[in-house]
Amino acid sequence: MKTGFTRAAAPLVLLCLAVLAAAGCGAGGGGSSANQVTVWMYPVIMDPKANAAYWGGVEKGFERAHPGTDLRIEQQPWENRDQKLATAFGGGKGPDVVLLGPDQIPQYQANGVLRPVDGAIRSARAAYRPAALKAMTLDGKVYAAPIYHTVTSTLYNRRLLAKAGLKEPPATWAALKAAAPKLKRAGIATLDYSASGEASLNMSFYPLLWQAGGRVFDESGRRTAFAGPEGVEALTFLVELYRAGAVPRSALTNANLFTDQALGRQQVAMGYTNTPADAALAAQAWGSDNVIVGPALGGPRKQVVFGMPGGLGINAAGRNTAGAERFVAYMTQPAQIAALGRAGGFFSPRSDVTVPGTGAHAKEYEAALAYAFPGEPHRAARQLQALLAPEIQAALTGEKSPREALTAAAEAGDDLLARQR
Amino acid sequence: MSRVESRATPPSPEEEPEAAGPEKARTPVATGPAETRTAEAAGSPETRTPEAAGLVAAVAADGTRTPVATAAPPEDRTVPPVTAPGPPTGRKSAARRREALAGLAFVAPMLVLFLVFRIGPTLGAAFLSLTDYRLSGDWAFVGAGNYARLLDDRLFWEALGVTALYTALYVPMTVALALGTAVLLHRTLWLRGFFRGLFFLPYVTSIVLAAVIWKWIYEVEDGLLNTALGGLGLGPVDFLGSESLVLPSIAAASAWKGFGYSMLILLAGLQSVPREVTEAAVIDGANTWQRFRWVTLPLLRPVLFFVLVIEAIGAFQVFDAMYVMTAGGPVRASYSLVYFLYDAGFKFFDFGYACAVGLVLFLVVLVFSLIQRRLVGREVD
Amino acid sequence: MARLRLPVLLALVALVTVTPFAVMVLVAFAPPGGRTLPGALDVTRATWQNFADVLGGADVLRWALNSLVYSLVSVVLILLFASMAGYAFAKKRFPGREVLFWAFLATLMVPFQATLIPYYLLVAELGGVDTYWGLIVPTLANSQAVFLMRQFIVQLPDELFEAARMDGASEWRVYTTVVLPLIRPVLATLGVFVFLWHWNDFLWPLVIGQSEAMRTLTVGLATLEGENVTINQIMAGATITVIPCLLVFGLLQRYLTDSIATSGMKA
Repeated sequence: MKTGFTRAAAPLVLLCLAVLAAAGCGAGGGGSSANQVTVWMYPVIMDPKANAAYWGGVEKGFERAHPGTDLRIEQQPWENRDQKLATAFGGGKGPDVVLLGPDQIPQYQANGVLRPVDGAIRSARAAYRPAALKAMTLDGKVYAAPIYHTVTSTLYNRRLLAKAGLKEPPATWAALKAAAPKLKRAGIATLDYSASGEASLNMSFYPLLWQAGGRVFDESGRRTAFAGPEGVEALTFLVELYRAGAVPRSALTNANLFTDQALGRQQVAMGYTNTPADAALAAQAWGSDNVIVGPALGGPRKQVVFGMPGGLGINAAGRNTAGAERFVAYMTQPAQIAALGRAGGFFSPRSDVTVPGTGAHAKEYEAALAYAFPGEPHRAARQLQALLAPEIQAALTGEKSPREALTAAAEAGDDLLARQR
Repeated sequence: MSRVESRATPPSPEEEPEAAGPEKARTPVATGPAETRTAEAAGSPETRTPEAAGLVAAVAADGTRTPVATAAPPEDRTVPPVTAPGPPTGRKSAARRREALAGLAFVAPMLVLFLVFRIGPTLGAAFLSLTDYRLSGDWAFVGAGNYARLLDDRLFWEALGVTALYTALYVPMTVALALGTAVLLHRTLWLRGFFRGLFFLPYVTSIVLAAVIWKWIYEVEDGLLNTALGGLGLGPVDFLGSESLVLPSIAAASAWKGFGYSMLILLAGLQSVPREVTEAAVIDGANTWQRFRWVTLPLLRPVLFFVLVIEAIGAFQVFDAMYVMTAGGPVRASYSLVYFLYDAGFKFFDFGYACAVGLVLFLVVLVFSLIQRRLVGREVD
Repeated sequence: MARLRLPVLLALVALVTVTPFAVMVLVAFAPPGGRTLPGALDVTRATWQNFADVLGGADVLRWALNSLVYSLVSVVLILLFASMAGYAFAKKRFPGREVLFWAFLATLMVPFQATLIPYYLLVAELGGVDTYWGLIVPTLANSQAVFLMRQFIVQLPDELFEAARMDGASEWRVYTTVVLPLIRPVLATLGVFVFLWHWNDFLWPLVIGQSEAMRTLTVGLATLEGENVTINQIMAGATITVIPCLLVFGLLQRYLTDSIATSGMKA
């Protein structure tokens, strides 16, 4: 009775044991010694091979410069990034150094797991772009040392513009509003937008707010400021476009995955928060002749784009803080910033370093960098976004007027801020 | 564990006089090898009895060849050699005690794993829910503060409503689909394995992948479904962008992905319904529906109970599908309770609050499952 | 007409289950940007490029090996422990049985996201971070498996066990020689499920593994996805992940439901 079953199970068990033995051989790798520095890095360079090669080079270079230090740069996935980092820190197994963005810093700082990096960047400090440093600063201390800077700008589809008979890419709100009916007649939407709850408002609504001259928080940081006339103007601009069919309806569920967005799929003529990587993907998908990278979108009061630094933070409970600081200092040197910028298509967070542009649109993005704003750092920034994003959806679906939506969000937001320490 | 084990496997055989009564003669042939089973299934229970007893004995004599035994659990070593059957003791209490010990011994490995890796972290979460835990390890006791805040939180109640509605949509959809396909496959003799494989395909993928694929299918602009509707002169329908359609749409996608699980289990359950029973019903003149409703379904009850409970528990904890497809929108129309928990914990780092949400959800599901048990499972135990 | 109904229904359901799957494979082979159906359907433009982009010289074999360890060891141990526990819950009377069973079941109702931190702290305290046992052992406490086993074993007629016991078999022997063979299809079914759950698992292998050597396939593939990954690359990764699952299902297919004791159930 067991013939068939045994036939299947016995090899399965054997395979299991063999696999376990085989895997056991390669696993492990010595415990952490005192002069080991562990770094958690993410695939910041788009091509996996180039990413591995670049960070492998950094390991070698650092170990050569600091003999006796064992540097381990471990690549981590972007997916579930905060869950992995939070559990590791909670369990006392966090890395010595980790790549952080401005929106992560308040959470980790409030949990007491980050050590200020001011000591490590003593020599680089004066050279940083003030905005880049400010984005990483909380309570007067810097919690991540910027090693690269990203920038976004407008991205146009030349073929679609031509189809609607547009000669100039619309570069301001007014031009955009004027172009929308022409594009609509050609069966094309005008502006791509991401209103999904997981899309950062820094890449969607906030740039419009800033272009209208508004702010998210007031100067004191104790009250919200987005529901003022500038905010209403920005949201009204967006809602009118959406109503007129100039913003595609997929905006409500749009995640920030370029090839899956209406823009990547050539259903819409332009985006206004697109990265150099988006432009590269667009060149693949549309043909490079059809890609236009324009200047930062101009609003009624300002010309602003979003661009943020990426930086290295240090574990407050790390076993090798001296080594960690040495690594952070190493990575913030001009030569390293230039090398990372070249490998990843990034810009420099230091004003004394210019990354020689390599991409087809390097010049345009370099120009946009002058208008880049890294967002308003605040302890409750994430919570506030979670309150505001659904209200923007409500305005888009017509459930609320722009003013009602913003007022509702502001009330909830002010409540939230009042509860903060 | 091993101490309990060695006491729990007494050398003397279990012998309960009442169990050795006339029932014994009807031991069915559940254990037949694949080659002979078909022939046996055709016969009546009575004619199969002698072979059955022989088979059981033959297997008993050669236990080491059973596959799982080769995994060498600790218990294996403590099994004493088989002794000849002793005389019936007639002492019921001793037999009861032996049975209890054996039961505990069999549960022991799983029980230890459970106490350490399930109950432990759950108690941990319950404790954290009473604190303002921070990742650095410091915490202050806040009593029921997190719970009080939760009851006051409008978003929590909205998420609870969304979750309940989703469960009410998803569970009937999935179980009906699973039962329907299981019955369909059960009836099919031709290429059954092939079709079973095709039906099971969606379950093989991860829920994240299924959500990505269904997001395209539902797209307003050029999604598969709207293209098809457009061909019929209908639509476009904004499946994921409409507050009233978003939950049914997500539930349908999740049902597509998830029904294979319940289908396989129900199919196994259907196949364990004795053929004689349904054959007898045919003779009594019952039609297909009547046979299913009054014969098959009651026999399927333990398995159906399992499927309902598991699917409901899963539905209450829905998160990934919404995270990928709608990010909780539009206007929080698909913002589930576990999504709320995830945001509180891993977006806002409010861990004590997140644990409180988890425990409240646990209580809700527990109460729901107990009600389910009363309704569906009352004859199960 | 009535005879046609069955094949038509089968074909319809199969169409619904297979189509999205086929879309995944087509998009995985489509050139970048080709994600809409007409574009992806154009087989002449099929390319391995997405697979090359995803794998890019990475240590995929090592990851697959880790996934295999995680999945297969878990399958064997969960089948063993869950069938033992399920048998006891179904057929043995012991004090606290009901309470224990519901306690097992109740742990299923606590969302993993809520216990993730204490769970991780515990395993970290026990020294399980970045080890195989830390990856595998905590996931063996699978109450769904115990529950499933119990529900099937509870239907088996008691006489089967009594007969064996009367022949002098010990409790362990009754379990290995009577219970296990009887529940063969359930073991196969559960084996498939456990394999899929572990093979597709992402969150736990992600948080518990740290070094590159401990990476499973799902985690490893994710480390290759830049922030601007294309949908074609995602689908290529998914296609790679799915193949072993299909193999396992194919292998166990014939044991899946070839009837639990066709006519041996208590009516």
